[in-house]
Amino acid sequence: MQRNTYKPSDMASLIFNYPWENTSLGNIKNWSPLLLSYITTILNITTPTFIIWGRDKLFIYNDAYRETLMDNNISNALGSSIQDVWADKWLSHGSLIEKHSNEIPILLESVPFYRLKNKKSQKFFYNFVCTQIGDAEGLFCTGYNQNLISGQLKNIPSCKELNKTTISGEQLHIARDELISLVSHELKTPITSLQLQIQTLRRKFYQHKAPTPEKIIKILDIAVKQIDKLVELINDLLDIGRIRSGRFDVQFNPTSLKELTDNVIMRFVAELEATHTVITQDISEDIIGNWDQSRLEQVVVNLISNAIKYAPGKPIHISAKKKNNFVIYTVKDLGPGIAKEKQSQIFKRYERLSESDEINGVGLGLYIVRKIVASHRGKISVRSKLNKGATFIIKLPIDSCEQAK
Amino acid sequence: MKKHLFIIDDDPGILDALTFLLSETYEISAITDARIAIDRLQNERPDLILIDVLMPALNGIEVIKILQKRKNTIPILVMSASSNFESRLKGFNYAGVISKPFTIDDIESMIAMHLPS
Repeated sequence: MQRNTYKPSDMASLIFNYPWENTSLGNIKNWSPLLLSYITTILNITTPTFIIWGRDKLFIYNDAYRETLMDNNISNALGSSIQDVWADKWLSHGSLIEKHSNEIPILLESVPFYRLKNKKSQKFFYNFVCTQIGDAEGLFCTGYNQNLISGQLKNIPSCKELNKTTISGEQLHIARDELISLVSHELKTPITSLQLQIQTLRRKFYQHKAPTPEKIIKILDIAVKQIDKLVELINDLLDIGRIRSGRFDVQFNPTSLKELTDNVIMRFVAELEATHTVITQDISEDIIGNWDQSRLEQVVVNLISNAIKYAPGKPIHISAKKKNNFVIYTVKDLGPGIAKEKQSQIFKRYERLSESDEINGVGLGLYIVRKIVASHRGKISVRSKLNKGATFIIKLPIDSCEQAK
Repeated sequence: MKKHLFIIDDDPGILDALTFLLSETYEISAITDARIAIDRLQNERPDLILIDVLMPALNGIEVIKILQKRKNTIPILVMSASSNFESRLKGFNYAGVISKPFTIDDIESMIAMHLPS
């Protein structure tokens, strides 16, 4: 059996070439965009994730899962009803899924999986969090690796065996689980606020205690801000997906660095005021290059929001200078700085400087920033000492198009 | 007299919504910085404390620790967006956990249930 050779794109072609017309879902060409967008999402997730869709609860899953399902002798799991794929689990969890009809996620605990490794069968336990898609047409379920047990399938392994054989796999899973829990945490916070505001508003109207227009505007302002946060996070996740699948596009047009920076600073007015942070800048108007304006704005947004997040109330200085065919763009803060050994890590995916709970964030930002700069044939680096602030330095070719040729 | 609640959360959106929702029934002190709450609790005695876990400066668990040292008897309800959170609260004195996101019915019934009569 072939294993470990699948990529998300392979799984995608498996899904898209499946004879769906023979199922209750019908021809894939007629599927709802919502379902297709969820399928795209699951393909880029690295933990077992699946969708069950339609009245027959048909099973569509991602590559992270394929192996475990294959070894479970369910090679035809794709497109089958979840009731057949998981006949035994359906007994214990089916009623939960069946009855699920509200917005609160359901938790399927301790679902066992098996995978062959070095001729040994490994047993995994996954907890799944399932959320409803759209109007309950389907469920979207993501797995958290609960623990990992290794050994002969028929012999319960000793603890020693267990520790020897599974550390690396386990560490891998911990990193992924960490991301999922960070992402879900980041999603839940704005959703809580939105939900409360809107439910309360609705209730007041039902009770004929309509709030004043000023109050309503305030509530709507908060709601819009929470939605912006959600959109931002989702965009980050989508970008990660695009980067991974090589579909990260840039469009180069004449762009003024000064104008771009001004635009971004404007967006932070409220936050700067609230945190008493001042931004100064030194960028000459004539620095115009062939860049992707919205992508570069994304870079500057990220750097400024990081500076505010880690050093609220401390001044930020942005400058740009031409140097031959390049521009050196720097964003300098006076925050806690970054230890030398951490500096190489911050541009990686899922890295956050702060291990504590103090700073919110998922750690996707600088990874995306680096990718955007790279797509402009530029480079980003950081100069910093602990407790002495940090300076992010971007070196961009004036004509990113030219450099690309 | 209205019962008095301390609500401690660094997210102004949530604080504002909870105040808006609950201020008809309760007297609300909405506090964004847990350190201020700790100070105020030297002199004030609300009937219930509703506290977020993930906050800068001083997080919810630290607040519970500090209050525990002061032999606190005020019921504390913990709001959390993390899953598997209750394991981290083992050994601490708290009345209950509300997972974010929650509905207005969830929060109202939790408060009513844990308010001393």
